[in-house]
Amino acid sequence: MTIATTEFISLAKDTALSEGVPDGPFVIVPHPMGMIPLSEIRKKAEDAFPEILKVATEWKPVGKLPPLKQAYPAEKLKIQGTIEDINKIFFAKGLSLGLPIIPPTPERIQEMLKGTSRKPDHVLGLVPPRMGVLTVELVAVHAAMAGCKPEYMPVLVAASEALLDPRANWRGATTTTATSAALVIVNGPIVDEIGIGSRQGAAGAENHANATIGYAINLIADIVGGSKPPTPDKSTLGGPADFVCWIFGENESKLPAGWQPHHVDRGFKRADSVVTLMGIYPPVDNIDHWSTTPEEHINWWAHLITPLLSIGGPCWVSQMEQPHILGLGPEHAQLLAEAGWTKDRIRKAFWEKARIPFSAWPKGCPNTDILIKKFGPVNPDTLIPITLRPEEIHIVIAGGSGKHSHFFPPFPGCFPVSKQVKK
Amino acid sequence: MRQKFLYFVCHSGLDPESSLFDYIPAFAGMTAWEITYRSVGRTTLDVAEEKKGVREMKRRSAGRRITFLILMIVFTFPWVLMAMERVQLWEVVDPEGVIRIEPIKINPHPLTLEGKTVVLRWNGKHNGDHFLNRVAELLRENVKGIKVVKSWEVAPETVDPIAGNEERSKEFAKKISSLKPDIVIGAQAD
Repeated sequence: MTIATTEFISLAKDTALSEGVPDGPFVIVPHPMGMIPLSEIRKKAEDAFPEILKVATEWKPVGKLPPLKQAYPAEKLKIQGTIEDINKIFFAKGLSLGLPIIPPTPERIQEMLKGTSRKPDHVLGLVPPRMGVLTVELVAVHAAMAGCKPEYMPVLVAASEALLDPRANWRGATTTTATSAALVIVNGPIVDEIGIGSRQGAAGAENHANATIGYAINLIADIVGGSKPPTPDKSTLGGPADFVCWIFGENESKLPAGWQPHHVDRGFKRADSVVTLMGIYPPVDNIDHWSTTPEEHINWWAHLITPLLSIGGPCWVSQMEQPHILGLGPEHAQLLAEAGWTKDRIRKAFWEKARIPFSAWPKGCPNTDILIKKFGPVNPDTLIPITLRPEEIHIVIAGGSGKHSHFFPPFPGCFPVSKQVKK
Repeated sequence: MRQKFLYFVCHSGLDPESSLFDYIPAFAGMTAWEITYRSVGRTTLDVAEEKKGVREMKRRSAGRRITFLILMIVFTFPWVLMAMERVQLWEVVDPEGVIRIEPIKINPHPLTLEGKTVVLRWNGKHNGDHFLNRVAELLRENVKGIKVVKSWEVAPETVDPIAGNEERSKEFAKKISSLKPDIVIGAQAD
């Protein structure tokens, strides 16, 4: 049985349902539990105790799960009105995010499906937390709604496969209270073939492929996956990446000599087209106009990033086992490469510098024992790194001219998942 | 008024070498006469003629306006119709799709907690342990023979508040299951 607060009981029930328990045994206490004095939390436990005893001994399951239905072909809706009416009705029914959509008519879907050789009835997986069945047909529906071109379908299908991989932990990233979103990095020939933004403003506006693919990914996550605020998406503030996720192509044209692109680091061939997806917190912009040596630059960047990794970071030992992504701007990459630095040397230097003294961790922070087990004995002056190994720092060349690089911290439990793009 | 005075000076017929003071009385008189004529000096016939002319002018003007309006409607309405979005019956594909949830069997809850093993599971969020500590105290005070196990004390690796991912969750469930609980009480603090 589970004790949950008034603000989170709906998420708890949705999660239980999606795991196969239509009416779980719950006890509800007034929100919050965290950040209140000890006396108050003990009082809450005393007030809830009779109900805890009752549910522990008297609960019986009564509810039923929704019946299973055929996933393909998707059902049709008939709507009388204008395009504006379609948009209003879709939004009211929770079938869009509030931005305009293009009506997904059967003709548009058929046109979209010409962009992929995958069969429309092929099931890619179940999108959490609603456990919606995602077929290739349904990917085409959302691609049409977002305004994608048919040639974007292979990238969208690969991104969807990555989203549904258990290592992506999309359920965690989409239902959290954090401002998390998906980061999608595209590598290989497909970047130029379909015009994925990979140079100046790569992740921003004016890139049709990025905008529509990023929008489609979020449509799939929120409509098929059912993750919308205020529940089960419990994001405290949310953000624009909930509409169009972070997506850019690596600027492979600006790779320093001898450096491999990100997908080759991940084990693919250079000629492969690859999509890598990871759940992240909002990225941090490293503005360095002044360093003239790699040591200066890494020293500055590591000290800039380290306190910002507080995103609860030090308390969640699991994050230390996850990759962190450095989106090096080409000019910063050039500074490092011209001094003869390789990616491995950057990883090691960053790992050694980006550390927090153990004394800075909040008292009562859990997992100290686990930290010690993984990292070794610590004292207040021990400098704790952001990852357990320098190999967990991934490097991507991101963007165009300008003295900016970006740090993409992982959402806990989320690992990058790379899928090959297949036409 | 200045222009009118200058015009009067040029066309009055008075001696050009007359002084300005000679012009002013004549101008004033002319102006007074003009005003009088306009207000009361016109004859009834003049007024009738004027009104007839104005009516005719208005009739012709209204006719031109109506003709213009009709022509505008005839030539622009089709274009307006084409520009307006038509209400139509749309057939669209439902983007939500279906769900697929496999049921799982929850073990029946014990009829009493006396003599049973209760595992308290903390998710690592602030105060969750303090809440469960008090629950543990109350269980021991009120339930005979109960055994209370705090997961964070015997299996600290199961405390990972935002683990979330399926693999780790299964590991935690397995570890907690190995403690042989009759029931698990979890606090999802936040």
